[in-house]
Amino acid sequence: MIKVLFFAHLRDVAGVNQVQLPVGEMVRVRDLLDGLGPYVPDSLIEVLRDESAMVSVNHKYAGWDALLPDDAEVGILPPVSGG
Amino acid sequence: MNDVIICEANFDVGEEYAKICEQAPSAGAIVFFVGLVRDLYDTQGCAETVEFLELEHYPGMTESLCQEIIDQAALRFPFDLARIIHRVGIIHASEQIVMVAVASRHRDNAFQAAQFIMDYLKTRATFWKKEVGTRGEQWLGKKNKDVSAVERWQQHDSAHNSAESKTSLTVNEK
Repeated sequence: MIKVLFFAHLRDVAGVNQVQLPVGEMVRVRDLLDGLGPYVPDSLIEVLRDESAMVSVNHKYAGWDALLPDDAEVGILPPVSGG
Repeated sequence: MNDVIICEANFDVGEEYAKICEQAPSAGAIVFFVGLVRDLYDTQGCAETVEFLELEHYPGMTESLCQEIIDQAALRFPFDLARIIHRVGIIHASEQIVMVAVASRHRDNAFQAAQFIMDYLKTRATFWKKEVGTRGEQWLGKKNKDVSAVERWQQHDSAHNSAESKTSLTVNEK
C-alpha cells in the first residue's frame, strides 16, 4: 500500500490528512495523479497537475518522476514557510 | 542532547545558553538567532494585526532535514555545536517561534553557520504557517527574499569550488 499525506492548504483542498491506496499499476510518483482520483476532490488533482507542489518519498524530497516503492509514504508538500 | 528540537512549548534562551556553554566548553563564540511572530502583517504601512500563527510540520522528515542542514553548515563553517529549536502549534504575536544557536572557536564561523542554517531552514524544512488575524486566515508561502538568500549560498559554493579547481590546476602545473 502507498500512504499519501497532505499538508497545510493542500490538506484543506484534499479534505483529508491522508489516503492509503494499493500500488496497482502505479510506478512513479506522477501516477498518483490518476491513482488518487477516487479518494480526493478533482480540485486537488487539478492543483497537483501543474506539479508545482513538492513531493517526498519516505521522508526525502523527490521529483514527480521518482519511482514509488511498494510501501512508500508520499508527502504532498506546499511551499514551506518555517522560521 | 538533540541538535534539533521540534516542540509546542516555548523555550528559554537563557537556559539554552547555559546548556550550550556547558556542552561546548571550548567555544570562543556563541551566536543566537531568535525569530518572533510579528504582530503586524508583513506589508509596508499596514496597521492590521496578526493574532497568532498556526504552525504544522511533517514529523520525521522535518527533523532529518534540519539535521541535514546542520551537517551541511558544519562542512562549510566548522563549529563545536549547533542547535535548532522550532515551535509548532498555536504561537501568538510577539512570542518566540524559532531559535538557532551555533557555538564555535571563533565568531566568524558561528555567524556564518547560523545564517546558513536559518536560510536553509526557511526554504527546505517542512514547516507551514497559517497566519490568523484581522485579515482572516491564510497559509503563508515561501518568500522570494528567502529563496534569494539560499541562491547566494549556492553561488558562494560555486565560486568556492571554481577557486579550488583553479588552485588544484596550478598545483598540477607545478
